Amino acid sequence: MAINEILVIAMFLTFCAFLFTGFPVAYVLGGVGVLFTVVGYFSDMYLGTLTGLDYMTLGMAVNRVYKFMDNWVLVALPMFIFMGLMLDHSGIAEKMMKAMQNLFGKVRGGLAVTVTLIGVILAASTGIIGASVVLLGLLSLPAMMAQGYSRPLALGTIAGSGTLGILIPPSIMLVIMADQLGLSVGDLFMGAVLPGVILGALYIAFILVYCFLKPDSAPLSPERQPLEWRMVWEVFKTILPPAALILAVLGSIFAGITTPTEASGVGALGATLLAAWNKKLSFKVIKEVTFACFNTTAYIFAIFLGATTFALVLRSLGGDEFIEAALTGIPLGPYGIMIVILGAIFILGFFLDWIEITLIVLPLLAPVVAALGIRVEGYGVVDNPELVWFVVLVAVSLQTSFLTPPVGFALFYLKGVCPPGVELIEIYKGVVPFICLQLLGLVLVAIWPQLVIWLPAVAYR
Amino acid sequence: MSEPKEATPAICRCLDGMVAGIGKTVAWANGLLVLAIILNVLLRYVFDMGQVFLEELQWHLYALAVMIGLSYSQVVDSPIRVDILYQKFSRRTKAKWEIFGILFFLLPWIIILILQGVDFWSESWRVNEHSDSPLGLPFRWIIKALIPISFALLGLASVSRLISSFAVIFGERKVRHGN
Repeated sequence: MAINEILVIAMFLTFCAFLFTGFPVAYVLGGVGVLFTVVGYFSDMYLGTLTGLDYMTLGMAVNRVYKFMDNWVLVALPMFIFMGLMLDHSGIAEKMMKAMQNLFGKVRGGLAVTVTLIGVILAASTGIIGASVVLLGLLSLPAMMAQGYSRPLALGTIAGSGTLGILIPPSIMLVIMADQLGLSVGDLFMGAVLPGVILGALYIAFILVYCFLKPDSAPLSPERQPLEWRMVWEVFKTILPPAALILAVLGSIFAGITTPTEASGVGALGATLLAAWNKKLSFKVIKEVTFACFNTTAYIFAIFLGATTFALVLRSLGGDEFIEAALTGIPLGPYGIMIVILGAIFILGFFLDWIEITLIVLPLLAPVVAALGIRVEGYGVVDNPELVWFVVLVAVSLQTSFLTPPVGFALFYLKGVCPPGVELIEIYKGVVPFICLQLLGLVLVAIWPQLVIWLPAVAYR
Repeated sequence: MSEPKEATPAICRCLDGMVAGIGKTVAWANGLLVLAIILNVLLRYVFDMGQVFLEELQWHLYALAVMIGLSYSQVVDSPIRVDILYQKFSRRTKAKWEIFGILFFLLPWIIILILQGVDFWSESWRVNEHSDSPLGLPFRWIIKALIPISFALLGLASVSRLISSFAVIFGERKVRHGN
C-alpha cells in the first residue's frame, strides 16, 4: 500500500477517534485538517510522497471559506431555518392538532394519523430532526397517552413522522446537498415530494390497519362527537394558512417564478405574518426566533468550514482517488456498489448528524455514483438525474438511520420529552414497524427512479 | 452553559459576555436579510427592476450573520458533539478533553485561518477591491475582513472556554483538599 493511502486512512481514523471524545465535530474536522497538513509536509520531506501540503495549501482553505460566504444558494439556509422556527412558535401545530383530533375522533388510530399529517404538513418547520420530534412529542404524546394508546404505537408514530421533515421540502438538508453537488434546488425539492408523500401514506395505512387489527392499542376518545361538516370546515380552516404558505413557497420555486433564495425570504415573512395572525407574535418571539436562527445557522456553518479544511487536505493526500478506487473495486456491479454506499451512509447516520454526512461524505461519493453508469432517464429536462435519484435515496436512508435503535438520533430526542415512566425500550419497540416501512419506501424508490424524476421532469417540460 | 456560575472565572464571564453581546447585535442581520429579499422581490416582480446591489447585500448580510455566529454558538455551547460517550463522562473528564481539543485542534485551526485570512483581506484592501459587477457594492474588503475578525472572536470564545475548563479541574481539586 502506498504511503499516501496509509495517510488517508490514518486521517480518517484520527477524525473518527477524536469524534468520540465529544469535542465539537466542526473543530475536530478543522484541527485534523491542520494536523495532517503538518504530517503531509514532513512525509513529503522524509518519506518521498508528493502531497505538496504546506502552509500555502492551507491558504486555499480561506478561499473556500469565502466561497461559502459568497454563495447565493446558501442564503436560503438561514431563511428556511427562520421560517421553520417561526412556524414552531406560531401555534399552528396546536391548532391543527385540536381540529383534526375532533374530525378523526371516530376513527381508530385517528390521533396517530393526525400526528403523521402534521409531520408532513409542517415538515418545513422540521428540517432539523431534533426540533420536529420534540415539537410533535410535546404536542401529541400526552393526548395519546391520556386516551390509552399503546405506548410503542404512539412513540413510533411520533419518531417516524418527526423525521419525515428532513426529506419533505422545503428541507434545508436538500438545499445543502444541492449546493454541495451542484444540483438544482428545485429539482431536488420536487424529486423528494413523491417519495415523501408515499412514506407518509405508508405510515397512515400502517396505523389504520394496525388499529383495526388490534383495537385495544388505540381506544376511541370518550369525548368523541358525531361527525359534522363543521369539523371538516374547522380542519380546512386551520390547515389552509400553513399549507398555502408552504405551497406558495414551493410553488413559486417549481414554477420558476422565484429562486429558492427569494422563496425562502418570502416564506420567512409569511411565517411571521402567520404567527401575527394567530396572535402569537410579540417582540419576545421575534427575538427568540432571531437568536435561535442565528445560532442554528452558525453551528451548521461551523461544520461547513471545518469540513472544507478537512476535505482540502484529504484531497491533497489523494483521498478522492483512493475512495473511488476502493469503491469501484468492489466486485458487485453498479447496484451492489450502490447498496454498499447506502449501507455505509445508514451506519454513519448512527454517529453523525445529516450535516456532517452531507458535507464530508457526499462530495466524496457523488463522483463514484455518477461514474457507476446506472442510467436514469432524465427526460431531457432534469440535469444529472442519477445524482438527483441518489440524493433522495440518501435522504431516505439517513432518515431510516435516525430512527434505528440503539443510537438513532430521533429516539433520544423523543426520550428527552417523554413523561417519566416511558422506557427507551418502548420507543425501540415502537419504531420497528416504521423502520420496515422506511425500507419498503427505499426499495420502491430504488427500483423505480421515476418516482423521483417524474415530477421535476413533468414540471419543467 | 451548564456549569454553575461561581465556578466560572470572572475573565471568562467578561469575554463570554462581550462575544455574546456582539452576536446578539449581529443576529438582527437575519431580520434585515428578510427585508432585503422582500424588497428585491417586490422591485423585480412588481416594478420590474433588478437590483444588483440588493442581491449582493443579501449575501453580505447572510455572510455577516453566519460568520459572527460562529463565536456566539461557541459561547452558548451549541456546536454539535458526538455525545455517545461524552454524556457518560464526568465533568472533570469532559473538561480534560475540552482542553486537549482546544489546544491541539481548535486553536491551531483558528490561528491558521486568522493569519491566512489577514493575507486574503490585505490583498483585497491593497487593490481596493470592488464588486465584479459595475452596479454592485463597493469595498469588497469589508466583507473579506469578516474572516479574520470572526475567527478572532471564535478564538476569544475558545480561550474563555479553555480557562473555564481549567477552572473546573483545579476548582475540584481544591474541594478535594478541603479548601
